[in-house]
Amino acid sequence: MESLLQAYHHLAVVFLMMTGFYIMVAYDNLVKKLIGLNLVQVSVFIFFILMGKVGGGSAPILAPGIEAYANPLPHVLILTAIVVGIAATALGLALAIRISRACGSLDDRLIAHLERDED
Amino acid sequence: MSATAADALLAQLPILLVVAPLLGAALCLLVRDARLAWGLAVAVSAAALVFSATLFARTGGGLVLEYAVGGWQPPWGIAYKVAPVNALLALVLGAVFLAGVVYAGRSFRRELRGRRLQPVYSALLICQSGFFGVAMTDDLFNIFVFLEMASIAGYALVASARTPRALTAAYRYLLMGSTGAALFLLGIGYLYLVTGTLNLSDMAPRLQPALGSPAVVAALGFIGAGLLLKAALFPLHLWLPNAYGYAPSAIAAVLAGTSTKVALYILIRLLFGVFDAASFAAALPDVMMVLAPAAIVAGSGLAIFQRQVKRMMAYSSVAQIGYIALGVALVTQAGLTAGLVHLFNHAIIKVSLFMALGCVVYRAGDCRLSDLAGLSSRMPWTAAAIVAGAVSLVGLPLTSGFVSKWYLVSAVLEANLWLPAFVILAGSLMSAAYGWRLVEAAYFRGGESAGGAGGVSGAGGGSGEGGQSPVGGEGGAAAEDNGGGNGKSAEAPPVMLLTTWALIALNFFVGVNPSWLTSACRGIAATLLG
Amino acid sequence: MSIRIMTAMMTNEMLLMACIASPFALAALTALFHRAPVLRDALNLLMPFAAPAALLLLAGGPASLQLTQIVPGAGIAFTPEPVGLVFAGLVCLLWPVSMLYSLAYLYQNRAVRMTSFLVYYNLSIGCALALAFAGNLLTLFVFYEALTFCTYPLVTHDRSREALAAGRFYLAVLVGSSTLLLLAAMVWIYLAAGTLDFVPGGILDGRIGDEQVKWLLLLVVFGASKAAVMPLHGWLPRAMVAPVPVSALLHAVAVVKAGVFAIVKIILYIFGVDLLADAGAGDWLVYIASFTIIAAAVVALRQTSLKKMLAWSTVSQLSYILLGAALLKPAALLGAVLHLLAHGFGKITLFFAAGAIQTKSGKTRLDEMRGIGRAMPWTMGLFTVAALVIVGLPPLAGFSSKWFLLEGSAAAGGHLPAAVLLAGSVLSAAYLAPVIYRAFFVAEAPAADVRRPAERREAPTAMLIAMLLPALMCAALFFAVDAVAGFTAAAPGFSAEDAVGDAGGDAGGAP
Repeated sequence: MESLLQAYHHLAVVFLMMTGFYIMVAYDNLVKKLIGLNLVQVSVFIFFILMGKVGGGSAPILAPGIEAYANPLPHVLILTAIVVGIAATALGLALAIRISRACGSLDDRLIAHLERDED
Repeated sequence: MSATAADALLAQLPILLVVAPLLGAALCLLVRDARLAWGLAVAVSAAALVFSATLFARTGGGLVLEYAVGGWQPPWGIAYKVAPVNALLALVLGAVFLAGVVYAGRSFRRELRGRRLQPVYSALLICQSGFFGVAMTDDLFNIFVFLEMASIAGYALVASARTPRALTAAYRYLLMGSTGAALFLLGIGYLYLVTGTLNLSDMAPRLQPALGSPAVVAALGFIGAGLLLKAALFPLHLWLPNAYGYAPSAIAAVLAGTSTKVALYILIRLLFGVFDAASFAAALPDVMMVLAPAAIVAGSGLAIFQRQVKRMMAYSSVAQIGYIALGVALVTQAGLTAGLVHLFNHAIIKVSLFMALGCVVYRAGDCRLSDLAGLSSRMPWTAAAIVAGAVSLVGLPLTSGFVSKWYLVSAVLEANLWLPAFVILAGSLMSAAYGWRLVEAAYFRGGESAGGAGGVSGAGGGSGEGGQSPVGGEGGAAAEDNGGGNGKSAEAPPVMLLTTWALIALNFFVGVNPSWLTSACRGIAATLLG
Repeated sequence: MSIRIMTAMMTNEMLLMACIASPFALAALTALFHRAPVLRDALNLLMPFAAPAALLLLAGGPASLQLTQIVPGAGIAFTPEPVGLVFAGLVCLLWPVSMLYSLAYLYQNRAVRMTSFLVYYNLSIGCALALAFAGNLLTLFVFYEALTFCTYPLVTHDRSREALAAGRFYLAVLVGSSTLLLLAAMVWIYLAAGTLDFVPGGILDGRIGDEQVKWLLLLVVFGASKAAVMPLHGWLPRAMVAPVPVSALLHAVAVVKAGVFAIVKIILYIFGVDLLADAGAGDWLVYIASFTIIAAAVVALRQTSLKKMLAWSTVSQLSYILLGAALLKPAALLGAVLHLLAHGFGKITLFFAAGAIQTKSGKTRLDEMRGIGRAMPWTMGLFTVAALVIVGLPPLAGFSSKWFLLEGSAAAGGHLPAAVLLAGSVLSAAYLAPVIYRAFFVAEAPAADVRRPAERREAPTAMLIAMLLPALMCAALFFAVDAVAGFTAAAPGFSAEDAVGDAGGDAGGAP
């Protein structure tokens, strides 16, 4: 019954998440890595939002004549999680700026190379 | 104060533990003088330690405090619930944060010279508030939010050293930590999908009929992966060595005592309180059972070859997390007790060690093995603190490390697992190997080679300061014994030494008289295992 | 942390405490007065007499100290019992002697870091005393480990590269084996018996299978590697880089004796003689001790350095004590305990003599000993007496100990132990006699050393006194065997028939 819908959105979430992981691992640019991280986070957010869907439910606003409402809680949770995600992204970008100033590069591999020399 | 008033105040302690540091964090940004900000942070942390110690003492009798945030009753509202396990974590956090903040005053002024310190203290208090929130709350999503609040503050704190190495370390810490958080959040989503609640006490019975369904398996997997990443269990430890190694010393000390411990605490609560660790969720302990010995061997082994001593200690943390995880993974009364005991003990040992190393950084500007040469004559108290920490890591009798090791080995042997028992003992030998490198550098180098060693440390300090170089030469002048004749200026400031030694005293107190801790942990383990 | 007084006899507890605490107190005072050398040295000469005095006053009276609990049912506790008192007696008697010698040696050799030397020396003595009085296995382990770490700075006192390397090896072997094996054994015992207390007759009877007993004994014997059983003996010869008083401490007073003492004590008070005998677990220990006796003596024969030779001799002689314990017979045990004393007194004199020779003439190699007996007649005379103790000739204590060991091996049956004991004695004579012969009967090589004729260059009086006293003790012990015998016979809980069967001997096992 619901399994098709569930499988469908689970697959979408998984695809999005894997894309994010791939970007984080495969790209050397520190900003792109952050974009990958954001994709991972967004995939989780979407998962939560889909979870709040109730079959045939309406928006969770009290109104006469409506029996089924979508579950509002996941949306509220995700609102908070988005804030958390933004904070992390902002900090990450700030760090990237500082790193590019300090090391003269945003290339992860180059920086790792420099650090190995230092050790 | 009447009994009812005291009770009313007691009931407010859980929320106060979260709110007080948060308010302090806001105030810190407003004050103009960095010393005032420090004073504020110390006051808030001291209050937090008093609160958490009160909670630990009061819940020791089996009392469980509940607090409904905003008056919304659980399971609808966010509930705080303080059982002994929460109180134990809060006690660790309170002790580590107070010591760390007091210590940070002088340490920051040297290591973060010429910078505005108010935001750093503010971040430190936000971190504190977040971790206390994790300890107090009974709401799973709330745990996530508090954990991220603390973690993001933690990334910023690591980066506050502003050296290139610290920045990249913080960046990687952020990347891996946020990934772990996303996985954790996904797992929470699955649990919510199945149970329709986020309240931990409410969740366990609702989950019972659904145990074994694919969604719960997915939840277990994602939560396990996310939290083990945050707990830095080998091989998910990659963020840790550099983050601790290049953070400012006070930050490294605080994070070493708290961040991984909090993640392990969440794991323990979910594993035993929500999932049924003994039967359904046995897969996760099984995985940990494999990873933990690997962590002990790999962490200790890598630590031996480090020359930057803070990084050596960070690798040692990787190994010590393995010890805790090993105890937890046994899923027995004895094992969980041992894990909890070591969670507490390792927090104090490692924090005191990082603080002692911070004293070295304070004088030498860096903390490589060569900077330790002749330390016993230059900084006898710091050197002795490093020895005390090292022997505790090894687990010599009369230190808290011995208590941990005893409980761990007996728990493992009780379960008839000989190989892990061997790994534990071999791991403590490996920790003796790297610990001894420190002791040898501090006490037995700098006799005939002191001239060269002094030159090295002078050069190391030269980049940072300049006026400190005569210390090495004086140490080399064949000084009798501990060379008490050297000028007092060579030793770290008394505040830093006092906080370091306060933790070492606590460490030896636990080593000589551990029954209060072990009986508390045994009680917690019994409750968690139901 | 309250000190709980278990018995009503307050004074006994205080005496016991005084005995154990006096070395630690002296260490603290030494550190305190490091700027007042005269006061420091006077304290170090006089205060060591406190421990034997306290021990004498205690005189084996019942006493028990319980300090703290570390794991449920086991903490730091001290209870004197006969074997422990014997070991404590050895340490207490040799403490003043070795302090006297140490001070003389340090001043003669213009040593650096004297205060730290004296501090760690006294701490080591304190650990050995605490270990002797340990009331349970945990306490024994605590001070066993502490002893390792207190002696490390002494072994590496020179801070030379060689000394540091030897020190690292010393720590690696001792800490490694005790952590990997002895600690594991202790946890195992705790899990099996639920306690770690030393109880006459053992605590493991009926709680552990025969096969497991063998493994557990293996863990104990190799875990307590201070006993230098082969193949874990290598640290002892390497530690010879240490100054001579430290060698004396390692070989005669504290370290190696702590190892064999720990093994003997665990055999008697944890396993119980009957359990080991029933399980046949002592057999392999007999073999391995026998092998060590012979092999180490053969290696000693081939040494070129006097100190190294004495070190290998120690490895060999220690296994006499283990052999005595492994035979599980009252007479053999008495022999083992006597040998603990005899070897301690004898070996300390030998090392003191070696140190005196090194101090006065700088000679360390065996082939340099020619004519040294004419230059230092007293030193070499005492060396000879001590050598006779090690070989085991009357009227010296070495004879008594070997006599009882032989008697015990006869009681145990089998020819191997007796043969090994005799062969060991012959070998010890073979490696010691050439030194004495060269010293007295071969003239100094004429070629290189013409400018220094065989004038008298005797060791300082303080050193001579320090050598003389243990030698006298050896002789006294020969005549006081009955006292020790009566003392230990009360101890270890042999079954009645064993005691009767052995009563045919001298003062042997008869209670």
